[in-house]
Amino acid sequence: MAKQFPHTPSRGEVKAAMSKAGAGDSGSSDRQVLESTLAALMDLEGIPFHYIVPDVNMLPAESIAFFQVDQNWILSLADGALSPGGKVGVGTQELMSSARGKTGELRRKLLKQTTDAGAPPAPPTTLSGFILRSQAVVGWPGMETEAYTSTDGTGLMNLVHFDRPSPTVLFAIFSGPAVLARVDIHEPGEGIHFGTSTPTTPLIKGLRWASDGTSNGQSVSTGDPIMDGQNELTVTLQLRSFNGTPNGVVQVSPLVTAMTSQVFPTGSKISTITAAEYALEMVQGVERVTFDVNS
Amino acid sequence: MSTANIRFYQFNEPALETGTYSLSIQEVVGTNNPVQTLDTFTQTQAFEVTGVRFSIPATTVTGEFPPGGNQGVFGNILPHVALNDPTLPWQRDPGGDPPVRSPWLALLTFWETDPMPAIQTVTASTITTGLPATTFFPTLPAESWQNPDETVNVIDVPLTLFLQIAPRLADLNLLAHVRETDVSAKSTQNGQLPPAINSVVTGIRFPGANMRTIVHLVSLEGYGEALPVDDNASPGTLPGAGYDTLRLVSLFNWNFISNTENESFTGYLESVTEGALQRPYTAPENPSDSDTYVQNALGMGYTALTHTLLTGEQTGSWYRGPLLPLGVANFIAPPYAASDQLLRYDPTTGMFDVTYAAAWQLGRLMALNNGQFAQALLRWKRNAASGAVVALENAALQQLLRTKMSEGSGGSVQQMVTGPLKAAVAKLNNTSTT
Repeated sequence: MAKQFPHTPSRGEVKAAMSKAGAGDSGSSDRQVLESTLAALMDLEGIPFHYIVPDVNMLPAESIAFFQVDQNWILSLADGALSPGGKVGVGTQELMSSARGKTGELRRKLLKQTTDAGAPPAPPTTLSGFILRSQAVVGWPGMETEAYTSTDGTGLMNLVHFDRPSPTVLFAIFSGPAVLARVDIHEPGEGIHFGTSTPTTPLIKGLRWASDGTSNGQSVSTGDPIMDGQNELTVTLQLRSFNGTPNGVVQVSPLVTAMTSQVFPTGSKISTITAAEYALEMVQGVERVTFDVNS
Repeated sequence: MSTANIRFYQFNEPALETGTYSLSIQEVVGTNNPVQTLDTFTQTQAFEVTGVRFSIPATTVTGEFPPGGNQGVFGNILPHVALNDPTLPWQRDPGGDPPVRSPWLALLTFWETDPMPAIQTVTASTITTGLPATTFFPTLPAESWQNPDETVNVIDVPLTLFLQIAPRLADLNLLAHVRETDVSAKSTQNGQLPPAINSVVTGIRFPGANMRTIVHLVSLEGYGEALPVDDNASPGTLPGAGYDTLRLVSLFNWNFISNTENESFTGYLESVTEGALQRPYTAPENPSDSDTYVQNALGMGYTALTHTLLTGEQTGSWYRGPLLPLGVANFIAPPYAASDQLLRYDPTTGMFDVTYAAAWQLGRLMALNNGQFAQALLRWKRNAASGAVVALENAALQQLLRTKMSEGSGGSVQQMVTGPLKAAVAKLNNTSTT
């Protein structure tokens, strides 16, 4: 008697087999394209901004709004993205959840951070963030941000999305085990500017150690302020002056002479002010604004 | 609190400065005993290192400070500009006898009362066209790659003013440096992060109080000897007498107002209003049920949008984006076959909530719009389907095999596998003995 197949596979068996076939190809390039693109979509990368904020009145000028990301919206978006080609792939659920584990991947790629080093980031339990609309974004486009799950500055969150959809708008999403409780926004490092400690004459500049070494038996590090007792050691800038009127131009040479004699500690390997030391001495610290998020 | 590191470098010289070079190789052929030269072979190769000279692309400037177009308390700020090309300030020479590694770029700060020089637009070939005999412009060696039609901005600066506000030649090498910063906490624009390494050129003049200040990034190529020799405006040397004005090439300029307005970084950010992402709504004095309904909806982040139904009718529907003032439970359970499955209808108002349907449809459109993704998705789905068929077939065959063997009629299967093997072994044995 000719044997037939033992049985016709049931609907459940087909489904299980397809899910397995879809899940077992994690190494394929198609699978990687799907996961990466989906992960970026789920981080709201490339989404037209009017879908994110449908009404411009929701963002008044000079305002900041804190938000939580609606996972239902994200899942709807991802399901829609996986819909072309019909409802064949039962493995789409598994694909979506592994894409979720790659949150922030696009940004990490831009930063050339590899997740291979160390443990992969934990899948986000919540996504939250802020939208800032302010003229400050125009003036300081490189401003930087951090968010914490606690107002005391512990629980640093992962920045998964951070862009400027328009010249006045800054849009950031963080992932973490809880909703953000504190956001710090500060001036950019390359925007650290040259200036004096006081805005009026005499123009005073606090000095920093330009090298590691020791001073009065204490070890000091590059960049630490130089203390003169309780106060910061300062130098007064001399300005060029014509017909008795200063014209705002710094006399660089006496400034460098004053720096050379004071900013190198005992045991310093260098003793000359170059452009690098001059920059270190002349920069002002960056300003930082902290927002506590009322939840 | 996170800490970010910043590194300052004294300079970043290019391997070769911009200019024309000539490389010569000479090979001498001869004998040692007696010492004599038989022949000499010489080969000369000319090459050019091209670079910017009279204008820089707008994208070169990463940022300037004080911010262009702003006003604020900038009275104690020395202006600076950051450039995304780390070697740019050292690609040329100012000429004269400057300290080593002096940049060819400098910032000149002009106050409204100076007065500010007018910006004139010329082309690379007409910089000196019609120049009065009293206006100095250095003679620069021709560069063959120079586009004569390149647009160039120039400013004419009175010599006395120039000597008062320009840096000394001896100070130039302190006024440009390289900064390396951490970009991990920075925003992207059009999907790009800003560069981590920038060259920075700094000025030596503070902004004027309560007035507009304009800062020019100028080329000092050929100006080394014209720079002031001290802080008392003592002139350097110019080739010839009778000059009262200098023509300078301005590569970039920006202006701002220094006053007491607190348009500083903290000034802006400390005065922003904290609010939820929702449409502002002022309820009328005696709100009706529908007013309250609208207020609640807006409070949950909803906006009413015009919605064209499949039937062609137009209606108002609620929509909200993915960013909500409060967390919501997860109730979506994909997959869905069409966006209409995600339409939610409120019978009390007769309005649809199109939020999730719109998100689904957007995802679908974005997927179809991304050729690589769409193709990968279709291949993946097809492979998932055919993979499943193969897996089912294998499972069925294995089961068939097991059934046969356990039925005792397995002899035929065993024979099928071991028969050819035995034959092959026998053949091998035969070959070795003969």
